[in-house]
Amino acid sequence: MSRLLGSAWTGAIRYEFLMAARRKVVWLAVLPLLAIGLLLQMLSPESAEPHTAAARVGAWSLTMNLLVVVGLGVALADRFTGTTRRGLNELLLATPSRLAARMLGSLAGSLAAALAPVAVTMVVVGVVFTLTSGDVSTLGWAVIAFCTVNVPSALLLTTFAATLGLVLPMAVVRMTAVAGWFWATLLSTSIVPIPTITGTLLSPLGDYVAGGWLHTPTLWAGEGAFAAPAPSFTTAAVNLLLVVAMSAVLFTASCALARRRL
Amino acid sequence: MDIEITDLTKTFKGDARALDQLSLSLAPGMIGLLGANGAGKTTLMRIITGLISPTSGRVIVGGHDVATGPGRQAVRRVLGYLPQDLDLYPDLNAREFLDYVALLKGIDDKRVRRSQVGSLLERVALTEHANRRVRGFSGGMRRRLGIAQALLGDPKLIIVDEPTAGLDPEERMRFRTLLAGLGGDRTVILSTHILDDVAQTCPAVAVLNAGRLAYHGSTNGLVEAADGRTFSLHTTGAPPAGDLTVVNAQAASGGMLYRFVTETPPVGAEAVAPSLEDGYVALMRTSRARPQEVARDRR
Ligand SMILES: Nc1ncnc2c1ncn2[C@@H]1O[C@H](COP(=O)(O)OP(=O)(O)O)[C@@H](O)[C@H]1O
Ligand SMILES: [Mg+2]
Repeated sequence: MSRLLGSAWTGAIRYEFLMAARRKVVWLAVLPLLAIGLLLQMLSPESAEPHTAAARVGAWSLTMNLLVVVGLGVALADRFTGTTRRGLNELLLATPSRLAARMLGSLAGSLAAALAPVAVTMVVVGVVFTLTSGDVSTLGWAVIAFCTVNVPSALLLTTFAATLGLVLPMAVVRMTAVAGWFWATLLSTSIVPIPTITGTLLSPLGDYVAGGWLHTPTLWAGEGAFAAPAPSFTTAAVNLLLVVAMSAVLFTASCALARRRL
Repeated sequence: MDIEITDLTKTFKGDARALDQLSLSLAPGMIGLLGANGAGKTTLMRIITGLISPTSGRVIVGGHDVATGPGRQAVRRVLGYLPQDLDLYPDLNAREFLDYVALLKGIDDKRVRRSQVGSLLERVALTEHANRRVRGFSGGMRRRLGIAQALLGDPKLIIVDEPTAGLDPEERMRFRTLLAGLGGDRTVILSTHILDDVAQTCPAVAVLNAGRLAYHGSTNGLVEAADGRTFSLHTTGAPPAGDLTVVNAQAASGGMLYRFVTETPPVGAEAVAPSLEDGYVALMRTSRARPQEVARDRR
C-alpha cells in the first residue's frame, strides 16, 4: 500500500512539475512580478543601510513574498480543478492510486516549478551578498530564507486558491486570492479600520520568520490587532508552524471537496 | 475474471433510468457490448469500474464487491479502463503520459515502466510520435494513446468504451489485431457502435436496449436471430413497404437493391444469409415488441 502511494506521489510530483513548467501562464504570472520585485529591492534604500548580510537576504525574501507569491497563487489556482474534466478524471480514478496522493503530488510539483525562479533569485542574492560581505554563511541564510519564508507562504496561498477553485469560478478565485493575500499580509488595521490578520502570528507574510531568525527589519510583525507578540526566535517558529498547519487544514478540506465532486 | 451483475438499476437525477434491473454474468474472454446511443453501455461500464454507484443491485468482479472501498481498490489493481470521453494532459508527450499512468498504476520499477511504455507505443504505432506533445495529436492518435494506457500493467480486466470511435480504417484494423492478441484469461469488455468490430473480435456479445438486457450469448447466435427474416429485393419502383426495417439500400442495374429484416416479406423478396447487422436489427425489432421476454429467453 505505501509503495503504491509512493509511486503515485512520485508520478504526480514529477509530471505536474513538468506540466506547470510548460504552462505559459505560470511564467506570465511569475516573471514580470519577479522583475518588479528585483527592481524594487535594488532601488530600496533599506539595502543600503548597514544590516548584516543575513538580514538583507531576509529582506529580499520578503520582497519575493509580497510580489511574486501572489502571482503564483493566481497561476496555480486551477491545480485541483485541472483534473475535474470528466474523461481525464475517470482515467485517473480508475487507477489504484490515492486521490490525496495525486493531489499532494500535484500541489508540490506545480509549486516547485513556479517557485523555481524565486529559488534561483534567492541563490543568486545569497552568492552576491556572500561575495560582498565575505561571510560564507550568507548563502546558507539565503537558502534558509527561501525554505522558511518563501515556500510556506507560497504553499498557503496556493492551497488556499486551489481549494477555493473547487467551489468557485476561476475568475472569482483569482481575485479572491489576490485580495486575500493583501488582506493577510499588507492591510494593517492601523491603516484601514477593518480586522485583518496582517502583523499577527497568523499572517503568512513571513516577516516573523525573517525578523526572528534573520534579524531583518520587519514590516508588520508584532503590530497586528491581536496575537501579535514581538518577533523572536520562538514567535517566528510559532508563525511558521501556524502557516504550515493552516495549509494542511486547507489541503484536507480540498481532498474532501474533491472527493465530494466525484 | 468473472463478473456477476445482479438486478442492477441506475437512476440519474431528473428521473432518467439508465439501467433497469439488469442481470448479466460475464466469463473471461472478449465481450462486445452493443446498444443504441443512451442504451446504458457507458453507465454499466462506469459502475463496473466503481466510478459511480448503482441505485440498487450488485456487481461482483472476480469475487470483489465494487460497492465496498477495498473491493473497488482490488478491482482497480487489475483494471485497464478507457473512458468514452477521453481527455489527456495536453502538455505531456505520449511517452511521459504513459509513464505517469504507469506510476499511478503502481508500476514503480523504472525499467519495467520503460519497457512496457516502449512496447505499447510500438503496438499502437505511436513510437515515432512518442516525444510529441499530446496537444498536437489527432483524435485517432489520442484514442490510440488512450488504448495504450489502458493496457499498461497487463490488466486482467479491460474495459474500453468506444475505443474505435474516431479511428480510421487502418487504425481500427490495428486495434482489432491488438485486442485479438491479448487472449489468455482476461476479460475484455468492448462497447462500440461499429458492429464490424464485434463481428471480427468478440465471440460473445451483450446487447442493451433502454437499460435492459436484450441479448447475451454468442455473436453467431445474434446473427442467427435474423435467420429466415433477412431478405433482399431488387426493384425499379417504390421501396418495399410494410412492417420491415431496411438495413441497406444501394443502386444496382438501373434500380435499387434493398436489404431488410422482416417477419412478413413482401412478394418478390429473396431470403439471404444474415450478417451481424441483420441480427442486431432483428433483435431490436423483437425487443421493441416485447422487451422483457427477450431478455429472459436469451439468458
Ligand atoms: N451523468 C448523467 N446524468 C444524467 N443522466 C445520465 C448521465 N449519464 C448518463 N445518463 C443518461 O443515462 C442514459 C444512458 O446513458 P449511457 O450509459 O451514456 O448510454 P450509452 O453509453 O449506451 O450511449 C442516457 O439516457 C443518458 O442520458
Ligand atoms: Mg456511451
